[in-house]
Amino acid sequence: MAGAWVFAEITRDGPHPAAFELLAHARSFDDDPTAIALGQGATEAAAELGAHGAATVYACDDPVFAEHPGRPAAHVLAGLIEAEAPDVVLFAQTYDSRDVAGRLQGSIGSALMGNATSIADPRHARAEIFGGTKIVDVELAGPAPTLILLRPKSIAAEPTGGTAGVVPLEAPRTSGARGSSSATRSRRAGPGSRMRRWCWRGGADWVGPTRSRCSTSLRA
Amino acid sequence: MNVVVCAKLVPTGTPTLGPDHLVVRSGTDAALDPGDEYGLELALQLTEQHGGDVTVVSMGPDEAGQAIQRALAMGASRGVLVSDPSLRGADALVTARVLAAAIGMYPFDLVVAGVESTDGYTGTVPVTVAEILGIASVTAVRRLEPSDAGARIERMTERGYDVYECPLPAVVTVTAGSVEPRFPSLKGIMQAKQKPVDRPSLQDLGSRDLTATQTVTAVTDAPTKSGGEVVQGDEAVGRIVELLAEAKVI
Repeated sequence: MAGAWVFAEITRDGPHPAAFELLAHARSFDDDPTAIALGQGATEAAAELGAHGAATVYACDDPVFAEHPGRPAAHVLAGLIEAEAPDVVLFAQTYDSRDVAGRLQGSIGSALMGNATSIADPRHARAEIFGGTKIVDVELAGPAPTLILLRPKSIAAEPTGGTAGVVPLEAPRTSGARGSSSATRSRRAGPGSRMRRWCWRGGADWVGPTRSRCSTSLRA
Repeated sequence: MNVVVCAKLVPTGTPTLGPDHLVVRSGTDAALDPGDEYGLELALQLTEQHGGDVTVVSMGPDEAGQAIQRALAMGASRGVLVSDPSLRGADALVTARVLAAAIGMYPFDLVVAGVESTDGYTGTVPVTVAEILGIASVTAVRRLEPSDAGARIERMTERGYDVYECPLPAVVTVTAGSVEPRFPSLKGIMQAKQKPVDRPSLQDLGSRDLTATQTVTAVTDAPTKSGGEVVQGDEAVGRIVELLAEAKVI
């Protein structure tokens, strides 16, 4: 049985919906896939991930994963991969997941395939190219695990009603892994149009949690 | 501020595949990837406002020199082309290793790339370059300006944008529409021919482990889409809901 892992993005609203689709993909060749959830709300998200087929959820609620794009999550994943040796790690084709997958590939040297629409097994996947006019079957070589980014909506999420076992993870401890030399998010903004409106009106309709920092930043 | 811009030559028409299932890049109509022009424009604006030079780095066949010439005509100072037959079919990791080695030959404060190429759409190469170089990265950038910490960056998200303080050097990818790429002037086109274009070999770069990890084993035509369905009448709403559910939109 292939060891399939799913990198489950954690958003302000819980797991990214694509995580459930990734679990549906993973369950096509692994009855007990594992999800990796990193960021505030990760432990709480384990229940939903379990309900969509994750047998195990590695979770860490440290805010560092949201504050620094890519690097801390890739560092944690690389350590887990070295210890557990999965066959494949699935990512959603999103900005945030691509940051993690790209960093991870540079770190461990595994094969990475983007825009996949289906997976036969950890070494064989399929994608559409040229505007969906051609279908290509791709074989992946190199050290395990393969890293495959799946196009959203390529499969429907399938709730299983299961329950995941939660394995707490330690947050990265070294300064490099925590992102001391990485970009640091200073402000989480709302929708672009809303932010612009708030800027013009001086904050009248912005009720986000980082209002004061946002105001300072904009004046600067 | 010295900026290195990653540039890619992409087919302009419908790409064709060779017998080895790889895109034919030699002898076909091609141009600088439109997505890269946004990064180049941002780089040019930064150096015009804050000083420094723009160096354009590309990996590809000899024809990739066209992309570099376009970038030089827009205002870049120097081109770097890594071209080797063994790189045909290079995957994201090989590309990142070669680009990182080439970038490392030049002084830089910032590396700029498009968010994703218009022929591959993988979108991970710049971040992998950052990992190999051991520097910071921010993707999907819509605005960047120097700051005390290095750069203040606005990054697009699904909800809007976040703001980052980023130390330099760093790798950033620039979204389409963030700036308006300039057209090369006649003077720029003429001057481009006099600008230096370096052609380091793989030995010069010291690149190792350049075996691609992806092989296309089969290519088939996608099923032809049908002509569509006209939905009308009292049952239209129900049918539309069904179709949206089938398409996994709802």
